[in-house]
Amino acid sequence: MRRPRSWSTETRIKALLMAAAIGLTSLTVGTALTQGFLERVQEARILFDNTRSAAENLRADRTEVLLQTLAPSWREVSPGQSGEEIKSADGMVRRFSLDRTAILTALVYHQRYVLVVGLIGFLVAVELAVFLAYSLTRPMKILAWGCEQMRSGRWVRLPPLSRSPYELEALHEAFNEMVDNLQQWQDFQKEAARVERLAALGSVAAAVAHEVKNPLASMRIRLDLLRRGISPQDAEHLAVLGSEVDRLNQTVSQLLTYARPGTPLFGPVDPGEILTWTEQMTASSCRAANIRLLREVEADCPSLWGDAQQLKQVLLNLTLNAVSAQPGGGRVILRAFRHRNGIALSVTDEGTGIPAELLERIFDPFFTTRPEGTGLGLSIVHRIVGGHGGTVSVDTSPEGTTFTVILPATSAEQDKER
Amino acid sequence: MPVLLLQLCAFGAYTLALVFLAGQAFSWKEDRRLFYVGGNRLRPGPMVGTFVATWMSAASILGYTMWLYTDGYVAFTGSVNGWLIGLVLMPFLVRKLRVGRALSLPQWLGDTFEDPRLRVLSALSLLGAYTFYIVIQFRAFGTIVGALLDIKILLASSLVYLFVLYTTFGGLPSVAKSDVLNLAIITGGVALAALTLLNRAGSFSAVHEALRQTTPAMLHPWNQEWSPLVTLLMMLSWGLGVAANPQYAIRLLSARTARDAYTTLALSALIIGGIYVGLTIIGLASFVLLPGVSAASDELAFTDLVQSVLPPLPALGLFLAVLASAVSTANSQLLLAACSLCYDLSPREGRRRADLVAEDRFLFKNRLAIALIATVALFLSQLRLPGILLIGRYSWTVVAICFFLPLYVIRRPRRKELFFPLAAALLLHLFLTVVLGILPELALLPALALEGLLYFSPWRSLR
Ligand SMILES: Nc1ncnc2c1ncn2[C@@H]1O[C@H](COP(=O)(O)OP(=O)(O)O)[C@@H](O)[C@H]1O
Ligand SMILES: [Mg+2]
Repeated sequence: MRRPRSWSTETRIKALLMAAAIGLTSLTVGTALTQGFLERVQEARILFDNTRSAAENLRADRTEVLLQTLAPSWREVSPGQSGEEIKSADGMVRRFSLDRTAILTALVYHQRYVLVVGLIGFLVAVELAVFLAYSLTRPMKILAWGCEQMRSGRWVRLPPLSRSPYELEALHEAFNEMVDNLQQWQDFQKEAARVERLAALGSVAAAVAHEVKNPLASMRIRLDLLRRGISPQDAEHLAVLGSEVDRLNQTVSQLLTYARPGTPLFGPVDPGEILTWTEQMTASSCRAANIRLLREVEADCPSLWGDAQQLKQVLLNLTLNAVSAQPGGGRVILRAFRHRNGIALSVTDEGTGIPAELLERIFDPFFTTRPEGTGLGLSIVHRIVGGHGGTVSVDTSPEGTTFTVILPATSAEQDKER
Repeated sequence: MPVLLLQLCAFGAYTLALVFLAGQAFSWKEDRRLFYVGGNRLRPGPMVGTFVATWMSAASILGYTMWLYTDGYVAFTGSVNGWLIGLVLMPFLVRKLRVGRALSLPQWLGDTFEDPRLRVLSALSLLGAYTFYIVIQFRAFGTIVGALLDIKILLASSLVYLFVLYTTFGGLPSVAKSDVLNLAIITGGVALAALTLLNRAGSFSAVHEALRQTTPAMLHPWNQEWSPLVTLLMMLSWGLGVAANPQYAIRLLSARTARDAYTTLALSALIIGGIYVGLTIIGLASFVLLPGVSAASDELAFTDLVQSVLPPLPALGLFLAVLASAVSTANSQLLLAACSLCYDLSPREGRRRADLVAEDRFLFKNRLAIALIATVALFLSQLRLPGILLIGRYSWTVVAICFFLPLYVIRRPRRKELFFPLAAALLLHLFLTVVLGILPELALLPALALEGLLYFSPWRSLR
């Protein structure tokens, strides 16, 4: 436990309220007692005067009952001591003195409830002070904790306060807003860094691709020319060479698509048509991998606003990934449906999912876990969808993965424009 | 100065001392470990304070003194002796309790036998037992101060109620702090009263001499009505009850080191012994000076007796000692009762590691529970139910049934095997006390025997 360096708020509040309570209690109790005491003394004097004048008219043996009424405020003093005199008609003198202690005793007894209740009131006040201080310091304590958590790199939001002063509530809200902004800022910075990295990569890739593409094209032509008049054995070698060149060409084209996607030609696109096309294009690889491909298009799904060519590419990439995610066979489901932000196209597979630690990187170019992969498929998807003002999201679990692309629907004006 | 004013001033002074010395009630960095067991960092000083002050309850100061006043040394044989046996057993607990990181005795029990049912059962009996214990403290003090100041008992009880609340809200650290003050008042008050009485009666041997001449029966350690066997059984049962009482065990858990725990036990035994000597002097000497005081209840008789045999100042000291002992016993019991309710009986608590916000909420809930239990006890203490005292005695024996065997007898706990014997023992105890009307203290022994028999019996594997 760290020793508090100075007095805590709680101690201060408690001390203040306690001082007030002590002061008030002793003031009222003191006043009540003093006033009561003075009044009782005065009453006793009046009683004494009345008794004295009454006694002056009585014989000594008749005064006894009368004099007893003087108790307990007056005490008879023993002969020879000084005191106030009462004379009876026949000249007998008795002396009395005022018994202040007895008066005070009677007074305290009379006021005992007030005194005890005062004590109880004081205790209640102290306990209230403790809780007041508690309710004030608790939010501050939580705030301090929040700051400490943030410092050690854990994002926290403070729980809403109930029944606290609104200033403290505002403080907590401000903290939460600050955390939100910081978080957004951090996300933004991450995104910016990624974009920068991609741009640099893209320009290098474009340059390399451009340089490679021309030699590749001429190699292809030469190969075709060579094929005529060659022995069957050599023809086989040539065929292999040819397919390798095609593969190289495809990679380079993908790289180019990624690096220079070209300006999209926007127009209304029928989502059903994209799915059909994708199905046709992937039919043979599906058959080879023993995969059943299903297509679900929502009834009268409105058209999208986008570049049909690029969107086909998106669906194709996602579907190919889904196919390669299930080497043992399975199902791939393509869906098109309405979404609150437009139209959604999704590709679902029954593979083993994407490990959480890779999830952040799958959209990065050249990130791949497959030996024959290029790592460009998803980055192209990301770029095209971004160019359309849409979003891609992944939902993955060990039971399967769904990629969902959400794109804007064709609006009424765009329809008219056509 | 009028005696009444003196008394009121003394209560006022006690209030101020408590408020100032208990200090900051809620510490800035508090969590449940700090709240329940002082973060396992209590030092011998506060430990001795809180151990002894908790030990001396209003009921024990008053009950022992008055029993001694009416029956003589039998009171020592029957009660104090037993309590001291309990104290002697306690060092054996220290190592056993401190191996786990439990925050409460029910948790310790549940963890040791890997049986959550045990935790719930023992927490329930603790909650009940301590609530009634607190009722007794409130009532004893309320009656005394009510008679002293000639005010309504409710008002007097509210005063202790507030003292107890104030010290318990801060958890064990604040209970321990205030208990140091309480212990000082208890020892001071008892010593002053005992010395004054010794002075008036001449000396302790003079007291004995006077007793030998007037009522030699009072010097006899065995009662005439009860056979020695019953007295002995009673004593044994008190002893077991004290030894197994979680309010002491939890303090052994809170000590910083095992060594500190042993030191505390040794020092506490000395001080407790001293206080009992003081009370013995008070009981016997006041009998010699003024025999034959009796009243409707022990509390009233005590008030009368003390006011007649002692001058105002020492009498006030003794009354303050009763107040301090009531507060110090009630606050630690209240804390344990709240712990049972909020921690042991709330299944979701303690599973996850709570962050500060959740911890804060949890402690707030504890404070609410403290206020709730104390209020219920205050309410019960005002009902003139005759059976309440008996329920109090009944419930501490139940606690002893829950804890004695696992704390002292069982060396190698076997998983989940205690629940059935424990439940059977509780049922037997219920049967003996309710159906056959045997005193709860006496019924405790056969119940414990059954529990042990069932747990250790060779045919248990048949179940
Ligand atoms: N449907 C899917 N199931 C499992 N993993 C996937 C899926 N789609 C993509 N991935 C992971 O994302 C990585 C990147 O995908 P992508 O960018 O298309 O590159 P490539 O397909 O060339 O590996 C893949 O290597 C794979 O690990
Ligand atoms: Mg791919």
